[in-house]
Amino acid sequence: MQKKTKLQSNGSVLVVGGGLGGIRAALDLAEARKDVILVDKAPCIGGLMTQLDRTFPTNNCDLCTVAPFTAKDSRGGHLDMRGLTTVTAVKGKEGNFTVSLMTAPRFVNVEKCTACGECQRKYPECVSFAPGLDPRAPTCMRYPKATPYAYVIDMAKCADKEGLKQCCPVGAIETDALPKVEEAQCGSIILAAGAALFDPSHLDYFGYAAQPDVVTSLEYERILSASGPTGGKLLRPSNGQPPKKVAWIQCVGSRGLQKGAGAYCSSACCMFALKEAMVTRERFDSEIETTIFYMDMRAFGKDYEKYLNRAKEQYGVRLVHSRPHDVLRPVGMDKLQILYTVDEAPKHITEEFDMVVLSTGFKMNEDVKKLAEDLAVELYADGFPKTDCFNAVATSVPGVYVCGTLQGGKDIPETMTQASAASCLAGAKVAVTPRPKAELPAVTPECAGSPRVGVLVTLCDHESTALDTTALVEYAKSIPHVVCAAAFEAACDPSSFDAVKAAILANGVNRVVVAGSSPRYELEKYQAMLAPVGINKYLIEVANIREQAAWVHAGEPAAANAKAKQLVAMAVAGVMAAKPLADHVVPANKNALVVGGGVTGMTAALELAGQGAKVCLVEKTAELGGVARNLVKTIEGGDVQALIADLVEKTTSHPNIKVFTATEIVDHSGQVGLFRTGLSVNGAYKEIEHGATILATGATPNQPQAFLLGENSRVCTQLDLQKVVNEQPKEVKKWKNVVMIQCVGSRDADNPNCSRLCCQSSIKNALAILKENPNARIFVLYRDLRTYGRFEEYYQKARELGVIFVRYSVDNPPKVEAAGHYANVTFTDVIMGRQVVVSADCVGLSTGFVASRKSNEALAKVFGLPLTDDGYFAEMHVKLRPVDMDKAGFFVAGCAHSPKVIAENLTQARAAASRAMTVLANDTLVQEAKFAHVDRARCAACLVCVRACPFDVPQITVDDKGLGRSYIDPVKCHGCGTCAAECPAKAIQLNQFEDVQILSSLDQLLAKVNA
Amino acid sequence: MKSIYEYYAKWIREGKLKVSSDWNKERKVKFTIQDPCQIVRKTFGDPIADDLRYVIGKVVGEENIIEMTPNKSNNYCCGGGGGFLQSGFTEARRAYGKVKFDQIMETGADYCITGCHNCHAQVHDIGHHFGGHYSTVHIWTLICLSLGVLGPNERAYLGDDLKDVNVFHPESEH
Repeated sequence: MQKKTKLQSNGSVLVVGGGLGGIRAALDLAEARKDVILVDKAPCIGGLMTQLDRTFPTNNCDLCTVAPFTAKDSRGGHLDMRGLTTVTAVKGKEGNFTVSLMTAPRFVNVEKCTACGECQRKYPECVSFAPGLDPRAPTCMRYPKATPYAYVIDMAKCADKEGLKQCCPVGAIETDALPKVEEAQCGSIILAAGAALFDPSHLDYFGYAAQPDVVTSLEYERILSASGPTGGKLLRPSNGQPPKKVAWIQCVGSRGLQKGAGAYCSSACCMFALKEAMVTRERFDSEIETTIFYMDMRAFGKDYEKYLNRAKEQYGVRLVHSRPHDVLRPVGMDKLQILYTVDEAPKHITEEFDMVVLSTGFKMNEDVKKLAEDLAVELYADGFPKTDCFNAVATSVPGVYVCGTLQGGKDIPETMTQASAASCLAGAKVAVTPRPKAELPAVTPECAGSPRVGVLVTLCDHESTALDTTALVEYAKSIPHVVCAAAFEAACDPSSFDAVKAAILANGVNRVVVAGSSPRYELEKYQAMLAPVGINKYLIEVANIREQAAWVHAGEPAAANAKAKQLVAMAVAGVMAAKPLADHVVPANKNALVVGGGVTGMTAALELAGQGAKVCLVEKTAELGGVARNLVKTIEGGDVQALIADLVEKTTSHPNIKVFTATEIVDHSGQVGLFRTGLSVNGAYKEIEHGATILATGATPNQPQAFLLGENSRVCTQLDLQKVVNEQPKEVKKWKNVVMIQCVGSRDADNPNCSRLCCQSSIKNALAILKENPNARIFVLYRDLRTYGRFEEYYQKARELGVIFVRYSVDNPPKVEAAGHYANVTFTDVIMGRQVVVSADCVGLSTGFVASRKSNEALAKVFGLPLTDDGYFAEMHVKLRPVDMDKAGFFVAGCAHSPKVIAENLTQARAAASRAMTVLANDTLVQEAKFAHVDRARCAACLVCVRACPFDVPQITVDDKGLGRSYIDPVKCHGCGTCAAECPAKAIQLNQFEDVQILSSLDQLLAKVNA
Repeated sequence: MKSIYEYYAKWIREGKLKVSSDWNKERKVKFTIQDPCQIVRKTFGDPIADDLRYVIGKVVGEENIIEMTPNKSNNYCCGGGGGFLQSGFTEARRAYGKVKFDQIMETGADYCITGCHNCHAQVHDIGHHFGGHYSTVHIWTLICLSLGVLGPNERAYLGDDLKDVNVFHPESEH
């Protein structure tokens, strides 16, 4: 306990960097009621993602699902956000850092600036943001939906200060502002400042510096973007004409290929190139030919293989396995030429393209490197921080954590996971700050007054090009009882909400329809935003015109617009019939349930327990440790058995953790903050109460019927192979030939996804075999070698040591046959163009993982959770909420989410713990008014509801008149609506979804039919 | 790490290396340039290729340079690198070098200047093998020629047309 008080002495966490990772880390901490200072050197937050056009795999933007929550009034005052701010010095150590912060003057008073753009118009050299394609000028708004929503001036570039000052209609320009220097105390630091992108200017053979039509991926994103230099039109920079053929060249600045390139794989580029190619064909012109020149297609993330297949099969993106050596534009020619060769034919191919996109990777940002050096964080030679092999977010300096691309190249979901993991560890070092809870808004009589409906159309123009926003607003105005309707463009920008609030107050609006995207993301945001102007949260209806109109009818604008109007009219009818309702507050349970006692589950339990939560850890088998018990070492040399022993010891001895082995989950009820789960502990029933649940149930090592596995003693899986190398070194010393076959039982019809960890595990085993027996000849037969991130360096090492890597195609797989003492492996070497037979002493199959489908389905049923097609648990949002689940209070971590290596599982465990702490930090719980209620006068006590309820909530109680009637406890009710649908007397109504609301919507929809 | 081309160019600009192209004013012997992959494409990029051209221009006269297409960082590999010259597989190496040979022949130049010993050996060999009319010469040889310090025994790779130009101490031949 003493240790805890000491560490929790200083109240804040400093988060450096306001990109997506920094925002996530800061929000997790603020939601867990820890004070956070979020600084970014840029004038507004958002980072790299705000510059992207869209993100994979959904091919939409979605910044609006995260950024609004950084609004200053939305996080209970825990979040202190500072733009234009850099860390100039750091003193002290874990638990007690003193940081010096310097805030550069913005020269614009953010409180006064209305972002009218007058300064930008008066000073025409002022431009909005577009990296590499437009210079930065004195007044600069980085992207159209910037937070804070105000301009910033680079005074050094301004010649006419007085004129600039005078041009502002609200006097917001302050030409004589000075930098502000402050000191802050903090217990821990999270570095989330992102990475720089590789600059290919010096690679003359790609022509980037000389040819306008050769662009980097980020520049291509800007060209695609509606807020980019061409206003969302795909045009060639050289001549302003639309391109007919676009090519991507992969691994520019990654995998050690060019001068100045990192040796690592940047991990994200294969996927963003696929996305850019798909978006090019989907959004601009399906006639545009898209070709990606690649080395290995690294689609290793959850469901990414399916995305790759979709790109190839559905979108016709052409993939060429080649490293082009030249991009040329011969004198007098309008087009670019790419010169390359392919595996199959040793000849020189010249192909013409209109544009060439260089898929540039990540590299360490020099400013960030300097800060890391000031903090004495150990760095690799390439500048990225060294992190622990079992803790990817912990640096060599206690109390200093990293996440996102600053830690190494990665995509958004992994950035979000690391951000939450970093906030878990950083947050453990600072105390929870109690704040007075705001009172719930009262349900006033005006709420129910004569309906005055406001319609807000919140579409992003670049997401819904098919819809005519202006026409939709005009149409909304014509609907009876609609008193105001307006388009509201910056749904991702919290500051722009003020204009909306003002409009609502001015028009006396008491009911609101939001025409935007899914209510799953929109409703909560608008409920929080409109509560201060007195709109009852149950008098807001969302019309999902993005998914249901713009997207599904993307190619048919007329149909999309007609449907959008109908959806809005239905929502208006529904909201008119809605009733204002009051939530109520109940005490919350602050315990956690962790399902699964592998390394992931134990890590999650320990992180939660360390932050004071009481944890029940439930394991199905008799022993803790899970699949990791079969592993010896990680590729970096981390001792897995020592890790397990340490985790088991800590878990079983922690006073806050109760371990139940040989235990299954049998039933479950309740809601976030108030769950009840029934356990069968060695066959005996036990019920526990908890506020949050983490699923860490792992996955199953695959054992496919292939390549004589299980039939021939020479054939084994990589897991078995690792054991043999570890336990029988004498045997290994005798081996002459070893063959490894990749993608066995993965990336096929039965198991379409990539198992992610097999490429590195075969290289790990190859290196281990060579250590015992340097003379062994090792062949790795692969389809795409997916050694992402730093695993690439081990791949290169294996090649240097003479491991022979041979590519096979899925139509021509290798053959394995028993041949006396050996197993003969026959394969085609593409480069030699002939068949090779190897008499192998050992054939190691990279069999990967499959979902534990049966047990996952059983758990999913008990908990009411969705699974993916291949049986893994589905997260809420593949991009931005990678560990949250659809059901509030549930989180997923480890291989239960998708296969991954131990370090990644542990990162996810910490992320899930961090997300769970945002729930468990609450002493009380707002119980939504969405529950079923019984009209006792109509009830005949027929017991239909009692039998129908999946949660056994309705009971027949006796009232004061002695009559037995159904009673539904609002606290226990899940609001599923089953009883309301079943009740023969229509005595049961579900709040927020009463018959009258639904029927009003339907009447509106069918008005013409009925008439 | 720096390339000697950069120093040649620097010393010529500074007047330390007093080269002259006067010897070629009347003769108008044409030269093309092989950009070595290691120095240009892989390491220093176009700026070093420009230095090389500056030096060659001063030594043989700019008007006497005929460029290959493509060139500089996009120049084709000669086909002799990576140990190919020593590894056997002579047929394959020459087949690979045919691309380079055709490229040189297309310029119609009398000489191909190479700046790297490896390229020199390969360019010379493919010229001989495929019956080309050009000679292969190292940049160093031409700098010395233009300075008037190239001795009679240092002209093995010069064609007959240049054997007698600016010979330094002709008496040292024997």
